[in-house]
Amino acid sequence: MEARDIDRLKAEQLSAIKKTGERISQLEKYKNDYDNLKKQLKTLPEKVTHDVMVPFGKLAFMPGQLIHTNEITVLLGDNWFAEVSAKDAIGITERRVADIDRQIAELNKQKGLLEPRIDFTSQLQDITQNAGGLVEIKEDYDAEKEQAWKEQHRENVRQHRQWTAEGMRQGETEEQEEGEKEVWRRLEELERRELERDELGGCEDNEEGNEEGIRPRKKSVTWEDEESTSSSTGNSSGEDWDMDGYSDSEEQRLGSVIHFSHTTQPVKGCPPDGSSSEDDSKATIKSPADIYQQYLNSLKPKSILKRPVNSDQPQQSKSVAASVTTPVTLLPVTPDMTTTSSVTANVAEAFSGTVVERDMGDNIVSLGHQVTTSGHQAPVVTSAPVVSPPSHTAENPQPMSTFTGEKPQEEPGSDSKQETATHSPPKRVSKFRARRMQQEAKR
Amino acid sequence: MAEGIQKRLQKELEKFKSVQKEYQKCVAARQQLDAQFNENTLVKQELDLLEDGATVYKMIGPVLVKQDTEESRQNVQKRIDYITGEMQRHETSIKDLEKKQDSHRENLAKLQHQFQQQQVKAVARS
Repeated sequence: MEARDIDRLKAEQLSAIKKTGERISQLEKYKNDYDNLKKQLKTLPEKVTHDVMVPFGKLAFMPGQLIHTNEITVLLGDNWFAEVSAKDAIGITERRVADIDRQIAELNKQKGLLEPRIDFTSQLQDITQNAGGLVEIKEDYDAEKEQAWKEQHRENVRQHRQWTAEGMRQGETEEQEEGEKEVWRRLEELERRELERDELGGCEDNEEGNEEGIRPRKKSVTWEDEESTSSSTGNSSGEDWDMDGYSDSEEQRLGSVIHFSHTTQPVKGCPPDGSSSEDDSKATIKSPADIYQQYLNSLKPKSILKRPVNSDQPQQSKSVAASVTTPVTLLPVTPDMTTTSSVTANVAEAFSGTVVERDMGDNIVSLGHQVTTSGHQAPVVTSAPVVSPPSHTAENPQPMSTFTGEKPQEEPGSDSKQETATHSPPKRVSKFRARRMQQEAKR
Repeated sequence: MAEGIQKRLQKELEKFKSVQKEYQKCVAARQQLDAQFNENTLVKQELDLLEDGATVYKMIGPVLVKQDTEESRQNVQKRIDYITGEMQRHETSIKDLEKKQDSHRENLAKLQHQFQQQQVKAVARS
């Protein structure tokens, strides 16, 4: 049936186009006639009278004359006539010709609109006949079935929504936890890497640095003229630089990390490459970092920490350079005592009892900081040498101790340290002893 | 019952046909009026272009009767107005007839459907 309908449609369209074409040709004929008339009108007034053969009925002509050659009675339309001159007649014809042109243009447009329709119908024909690779997709419509399907669909959608909502909730909690863990793991890993890199420069990193401290430490940034010497100044400058650099990165990472740039604290795992820069800085300024170091030293306010040993009080200035650390340092004091005491016990043999209190304090500060921060998350306030993520602090209590042990070893090598120490040696010793005693008592 | 429906169907069909005829008449008349309107506007234009002293003739039967220019203009104008009025009237009647036609068509379709159902039933019964 459809094929028949399509055929009929096609036939109709074709006829419409044909009609339009015919009308167009008719108008063109009129136009031709008007053009001829115009020519005649032009020539007519040239002569006063024309000799012509006048038609006489159907079959005869008669010679005659055309007079009043300039008086032309024109049919205007609707049984109205007007007497005009030839020139006016010409004007009239021109207007009519213009009108015809307009109509022809419109008809052409119409034809142009009709012709594509035939293409569409022929395409439709192909579809129905499955010709040309076009297949019409048909679905039988049954009102009842549609209704039933609608209900089913609604139900399915409802169930699906519930299921996804539940899944989302479950997934969310689980994912959230996992996500957080992952984030922390990542942070720790990054910190570790940073420490590695920084450690290579200045041994300022913590236990983590120890773990990876096997690597050559030449990666650190040290001034050329000081590279050869393992003096504290050179290293300190490098350390300082590293510290600063590290601090920046770490701050970025952890958000609220404040670093000290006191470089006297050697990295626990590091050999005495980076060591008492602090004391040396006063004496020798070999790099801008040294200037900064001295500046810091001068800035250090008195700490408000209450130490178990009186002599320790002035030494807190170093730690208070960033006073933020004080709360942190308070806590670890006692545990530090144990470690440091154990260390110094060993170390006492190696060198004289002149321990630079500041260093110790720094050690303690750093140690304590590390020990306590084992349980804490960022924001971690770290002293200069203490730059370790919380997780790593607990791992290296012993390295820490060794670190401190090393440091005291360095000290005898640098007299300036002792000079800069605010306390007299006997005081420091006593403090140390007191701490050790305290720690031992705690044990 | 089937006969009743058939009768009704026929009646409806007749009504529909009459309405359709009227509709077609109306449409044709309107077309004619439209043509006249166009023609008269053309005449008006030409008359306006003419000088006032020019001679204008009106053809009444086989005779050309001379007319005053101004008068002829007015006549043509009046004719134009009349034609537009007629056209409006015809248009409204065309709309009405179209509506009637549609309603009749619907009725016819319904009746046809019923008739077919009846036929089916009759066949089933027999």
